[in-house]
Amino acid sequence: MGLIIFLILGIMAVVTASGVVIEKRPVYSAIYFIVNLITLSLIYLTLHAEFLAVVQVLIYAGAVMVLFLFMIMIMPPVVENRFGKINLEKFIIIPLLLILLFEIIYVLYSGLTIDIGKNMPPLSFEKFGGIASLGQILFKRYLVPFEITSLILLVAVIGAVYLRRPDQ
Amino acid sequence: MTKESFIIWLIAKIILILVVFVALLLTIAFLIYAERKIIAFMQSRIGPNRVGPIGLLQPFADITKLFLKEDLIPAGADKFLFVLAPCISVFTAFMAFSVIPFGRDIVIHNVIIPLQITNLNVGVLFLMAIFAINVYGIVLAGWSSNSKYSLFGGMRSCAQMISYELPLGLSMVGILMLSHSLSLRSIVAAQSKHWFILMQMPAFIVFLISSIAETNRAPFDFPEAEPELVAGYHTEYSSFKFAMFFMAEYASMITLSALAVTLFFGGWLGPSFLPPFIWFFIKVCLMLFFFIWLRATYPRLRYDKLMKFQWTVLLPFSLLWILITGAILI
Repeated sequence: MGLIIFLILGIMAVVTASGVVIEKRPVYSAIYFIVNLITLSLIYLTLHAEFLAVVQVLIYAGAVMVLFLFMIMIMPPVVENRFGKINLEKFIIIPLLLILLFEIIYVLYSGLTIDIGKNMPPLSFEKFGGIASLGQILFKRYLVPFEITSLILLVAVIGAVYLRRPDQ
Repeated sequence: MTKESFIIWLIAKIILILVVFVALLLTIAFLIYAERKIIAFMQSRIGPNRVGPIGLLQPFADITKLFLKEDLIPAGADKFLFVLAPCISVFTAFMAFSVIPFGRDIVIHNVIIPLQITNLNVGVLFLMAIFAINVYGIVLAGWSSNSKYSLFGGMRSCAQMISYELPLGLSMVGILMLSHSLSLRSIVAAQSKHWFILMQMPAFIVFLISSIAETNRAPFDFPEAEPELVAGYHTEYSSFKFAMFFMAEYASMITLSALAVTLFFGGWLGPSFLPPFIWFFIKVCLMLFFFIWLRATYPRLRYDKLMKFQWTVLLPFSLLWILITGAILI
């Protein structure tokens, strides 16, 4: 049962992700992206990570993509043929993609030897994605990185406000 | 859970979903009637009084009329998105109600059935996510109509709803700190001694203002401001698709009222001479009456002032209130 659900969601995720790239109309691209984000959040749900699933929809689909769509709507609805001619970008992107693919395959074959969660406190499977356990980890174990991240975000916000100051 | 109790549980859940869906539809129908009657009373008019006794069948006449009208799709519109937009609106508006608890648990053959479609342990966040998705219905309707008025309506509501989601979410944080839970059921249970409005009055005011802006109701109904934008994002919509937007607006109004009742007024809790869901219904009706009362009382504000108010007053205030709540709790 779990495998069937994962297969359906996985195929949907791949189809929508390719849709983002292949679709020529920008608004439809954005919508493919939104569906992709929602599919990913459903995959999180099957892994008992309710908090992550809801936050994925709330932040990415609900806030970030609305701003994307907002920008696309302001643009004139002229569709440019993005796939017509061979340009410089393709020569850079294709090698980069190949390197990324190689990296993914290497990591999968080497069996994830990087220790991310070796010294983690033991968590029960049901409580793993819950808010309580996440909060415990975030505010006790990873307090300093968490605060540094929020500081970086604050700097970004101040930078954005500075760039858009009234006298410009 | 044995097989037999699972089947009982499943059937009970399906019946519960159907009952909630039909109840929501009926509430929407009579809410529209009630709104017209109440506003008429406040403006010294009579209101709908022709169809049925004191106009009670008016909502059904309206629905029939909307069904029978011609369904137009503008020639320049993006047809797929034009049809998709009202579906998103109505789907999310109804889906949001699924985490609202409206009664005590009932027991059928030793199977406990909570009177709530689903008890998520991240219920409040789930609601916020649904409200966030709800924006797409309006934005896509504005864009796909390929009309200037619709586009402006869509863009306005996009900015307005995103901005007001922040204080709406932040106003609930105090409640979450008091109840130690994100599940709406536990929040109701935590109010058995006293309602949270007693401790969270400022948060309630922020919640109320943001929820009016979030549902695009008067005095914050800029996405459909008639004198400027004809009808905003649904200018080009007719027939059943228009009815879907209409239903979505009223359904979100009911959901937000139910949420306000759950968070601040003790949900279905009340003296025992009435069943819990009756208490819930009465409280929601009072909140809805407040929504209508506001619409009849205040004129529409100015759009830039609304946005400025949110970013310079409401947001800092709600952040400050979270700080104060935290300080008191510690």
